[in-house]
Amino acid sequence: MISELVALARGVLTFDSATFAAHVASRDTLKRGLLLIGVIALLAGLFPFLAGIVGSFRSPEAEIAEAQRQFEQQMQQQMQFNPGWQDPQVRRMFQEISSQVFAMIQDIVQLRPNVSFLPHWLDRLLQVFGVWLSTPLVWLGAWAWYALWVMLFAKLLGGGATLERMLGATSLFVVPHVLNLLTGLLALMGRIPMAGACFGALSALIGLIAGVWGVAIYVKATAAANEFSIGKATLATILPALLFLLLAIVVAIAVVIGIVVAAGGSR
Amino acid sequence: MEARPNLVQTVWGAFFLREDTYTGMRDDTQRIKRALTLIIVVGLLVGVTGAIGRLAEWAFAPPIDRVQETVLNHLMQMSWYAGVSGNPRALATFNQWYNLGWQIAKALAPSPWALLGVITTPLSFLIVWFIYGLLAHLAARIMGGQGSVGQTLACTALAVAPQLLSLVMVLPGAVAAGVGTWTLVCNFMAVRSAHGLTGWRALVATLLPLVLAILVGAGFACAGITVAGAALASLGGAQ
Repeated sequence: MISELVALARGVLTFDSATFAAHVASRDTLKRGLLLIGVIALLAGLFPFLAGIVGSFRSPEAEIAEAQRQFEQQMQQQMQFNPGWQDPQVRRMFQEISSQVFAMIQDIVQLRPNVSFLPHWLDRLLQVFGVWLSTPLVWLGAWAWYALWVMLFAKLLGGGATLERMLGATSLFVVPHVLNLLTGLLALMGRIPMAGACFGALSALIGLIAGVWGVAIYVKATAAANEFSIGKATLATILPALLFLLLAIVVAIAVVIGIVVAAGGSR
Repeated sequence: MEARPNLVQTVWGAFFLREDTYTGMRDDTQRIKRALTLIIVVGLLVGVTGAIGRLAEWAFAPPIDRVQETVLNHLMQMSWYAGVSGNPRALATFNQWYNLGWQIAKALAPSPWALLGVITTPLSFLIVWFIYGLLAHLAARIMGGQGSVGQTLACTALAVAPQLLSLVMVLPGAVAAGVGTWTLVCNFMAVRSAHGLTGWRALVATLLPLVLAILVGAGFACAGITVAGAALASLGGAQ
């Protein structure tokens, strides 16, 4: 099974048409696709998960104090360079509110839980597990939702894929995201002072490569599932994104017009 | 004669959109019994794990009354609060909104009442399945479908399979994303298999009940907002 998946991944990454065709024609296309999404999503979240395990044993008070220190550092920078923060009264008010809010969070964290013998770290540990195990589901939801839209447009463009074939084929987009294992590690190394920025940039670059590679595989997979040209597959792949973008612009314009009208009416 | 698949095989096949699972359910003589068993078993599993997850969230959370008290203590130390507390009308309005906010928070916060989910989850699955199944049947018939009510209900029961993804919610902090989308996909397969419809017609029949539900929901929301607005306005006017 594992060697089969590795061979599939290799063929997909090299855009081997025979691999795509065989995957689409297979009876297990969807099962394999979902397995790939599950495994790769868990791998992508592995390093943040491990960091989360370590972090769950830190005292929450220390973490809040650290967050407060970082926040205050950022606000100091804002106050130095942002003209909006030059009014001493605004500064004083803001500092008072922020320090009270952090003090409030500290006090809330120190409250005993409803079942008082339960340690804080156990809750955080379980949450880290929960978030990690949810990663494949989040990926699954986003991928399936988008794939349905792509399938709709592919049908309009004359595509002949069945639902199972389409879902099974497009799930292959996930293969290059195995690189996210590396980005997760680099993101952790990004916390190292001084050298961190380099790791952060490298992580972003690798993430970008994985993303673009994934889109290219998505297009190829859509073409293979629908048995039409790469041009039509590209169109079917990007049209839903364009539609969402257009919708977001229309909603944003409507909101702005609404605010302007409301402001005009209140005068 | 082919042996009838067991519950696990049925859920497995439904989740992975196996055509034979859907047609097998459609043609089974005991389809409604199987559908009911499937929904109750999945509902109980999801209900039990969900209740455990919510109970764990409650167990780890501090008592919400203490949180409310702590927040108020800190708000009272802020300079703006002195201005508010000096004005009885402003203080009354502040207290009213503050308490309303916490009442909503308490209603949404996890509590031992989450154990009721063991009963309410399978019950809600049954109700949703029955209403959706009937509406989908009507829609499919309008679109030219040939299936019976029993066949539609039996096939749409298979769309409960993705709910098993919610088992992850036994852990606090977990989210069962994708369940809705995958349920929609399974319902599409169910309507198509039960009625022998083409893709487009099956899609319309699958979505029509949802569109109807959204419209009804939006209507209720509008009515609710109007009533709540009127109630708040009358509260404001009373002061």
